[in-house]
Amino acid sequence: MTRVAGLLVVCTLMLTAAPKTWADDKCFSCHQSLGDRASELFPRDVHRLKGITCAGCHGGNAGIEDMEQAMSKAAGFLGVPKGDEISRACAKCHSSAERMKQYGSSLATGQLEQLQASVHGNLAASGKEHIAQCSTCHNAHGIASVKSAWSPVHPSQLVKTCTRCHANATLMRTYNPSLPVDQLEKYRTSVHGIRHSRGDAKVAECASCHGSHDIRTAKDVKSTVYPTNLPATCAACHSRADYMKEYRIPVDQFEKFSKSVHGVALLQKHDLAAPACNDCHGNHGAAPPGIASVSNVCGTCHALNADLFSASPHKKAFDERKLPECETCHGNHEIIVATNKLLGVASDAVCSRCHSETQNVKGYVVARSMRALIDSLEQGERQAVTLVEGAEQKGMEISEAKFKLRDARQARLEARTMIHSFSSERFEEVVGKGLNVASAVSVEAHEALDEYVFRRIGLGVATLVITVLVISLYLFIRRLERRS
Amino acid sequence: MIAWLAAVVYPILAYLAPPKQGEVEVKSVKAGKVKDIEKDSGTIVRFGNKPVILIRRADGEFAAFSATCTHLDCTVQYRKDLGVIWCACHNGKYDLTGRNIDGPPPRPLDAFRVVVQGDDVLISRKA
Repeated sequence: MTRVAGLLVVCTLMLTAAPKTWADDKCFSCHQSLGDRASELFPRDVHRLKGITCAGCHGGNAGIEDMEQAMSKAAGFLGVPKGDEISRACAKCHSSAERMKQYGSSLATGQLEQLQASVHGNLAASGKEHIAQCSTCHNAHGIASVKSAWSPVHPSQLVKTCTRCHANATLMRTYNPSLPVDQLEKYRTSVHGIRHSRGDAKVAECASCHGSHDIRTAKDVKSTVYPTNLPATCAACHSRADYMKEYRIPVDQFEKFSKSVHGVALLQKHDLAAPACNDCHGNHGAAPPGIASVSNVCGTCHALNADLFSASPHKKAFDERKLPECETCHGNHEIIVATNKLLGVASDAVCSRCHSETQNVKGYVVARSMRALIDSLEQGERQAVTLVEGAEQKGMEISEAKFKLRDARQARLEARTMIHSFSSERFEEVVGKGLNVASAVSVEAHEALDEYVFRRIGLGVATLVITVLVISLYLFIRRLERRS
Repeated sequence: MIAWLAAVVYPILAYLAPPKQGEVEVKSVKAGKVKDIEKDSGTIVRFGNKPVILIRRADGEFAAFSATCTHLDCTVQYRKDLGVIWCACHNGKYDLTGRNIDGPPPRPLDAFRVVVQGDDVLISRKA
């Protein structure tokens, strides 16, 4: 209650006791004569330019010459705000749309609420205040408009401002010892960071991805950098043709990614193991992976495929032609589910882009044979599944064979991985394993179906015999009755 | 006559065209004898129509998980050399608590309960 009353006094004084000219701002005049840092910065402060005096934040009466009176409790003097008092002092105006309107500002008014809900709104190590106050990023007496190049939150300055804390390992350790402190170092190596250092204020800096007042941890589902939100965050710039025009790069990455196997898994199935933009491009050090590193990047998840490829004859061929390894066959942003269609020598098979009956013939032969083998395995598996399901439906005990079917499916999946070895022998070995299983299962299912037919014939014969017997018995009894 | 038809013909027809039956739910299976299961090993055990991997850690403790990889349903196996549960299809790895630690698996393996009764090792579903 006292606090509310205090704020009301301050607000009233701020509006009524504002001096008509800056010479009348006694607080400022006196402090300027002392040559302190605050009065040195304040003349260019955006608030002063709007007519707000020292009393606007510190309370007191800037129009009274007498220092005792001007800085008395009766005059509503608050002194130097500390901790959370700082943000509360700012929020007196910045949380009030009406007050902001009086100063001709159209700024949003929810900053304090957003700040308090953000990761910076957690309690500081002291336990007495929140981690960040308004002044932590905006400064105190020389506050400039965000659009001003000398504002610490202007895109050109923000990276420096954030890293004042975030590159300080000692400070960050007190809050989150596992949080990296090398973001700036990585950022400088990124395409964003390199352009930023050349003075490009359009490229992404910290706030572009993390937000400003409402920054949340990357593990927070509401965070703009939470895996399922990140593609949309990147797309906020990268899908805008007008914004990206001068960089001459495509703007359909998000559209393609959303349709890709990775995008569907991440955005529709919310599978957090699926990659978002940063998993391939990096986050603070974001850049397109170089041709030589594509397989390493994909290999962070698809390790076996990458290992097999690296040991295959294709590795050398791709290196010589400077082809990006996985990307050449699978694409990049629009990676679709890999089906057998990719393999072989048909016109829609990726192998046929380089291999034909006249060009790179060995690969053509291998691709054709691999496709035939995997098709036969798929067909064998399908046939075995149909037979097992048929036998099961007919009530036959076939669970053992059904269990074995898993091995045929597994062999098919392993074979698809083994394609990346581009070795006929290794491929045949895996496919052969699957074909054997499919064949054995089919035999068992056939036996079960034969048994089913045998049982039905037996049933028919038994039913016929019983029926004939019953009818004969009936006729015999009737004849006995007639005789008697 | 109607009674005869009901008693004879209906069972025959029902036998010839049986209704679809759901899989019988298995509550628990006996995985083997403690003395037969080596320390630092993994065994695939059939649990109904699904495989379960029974792990005996180096310290002798047992643990069991669904042996179906959470990525694309391949059957996982124990890799003694790596000390992990491993999927041969895409190199997915799980630690010995079933947690996915590497590769494409999106989530951990479902855990089963292991009870040692005398010398028998029994696996059952967790409640």
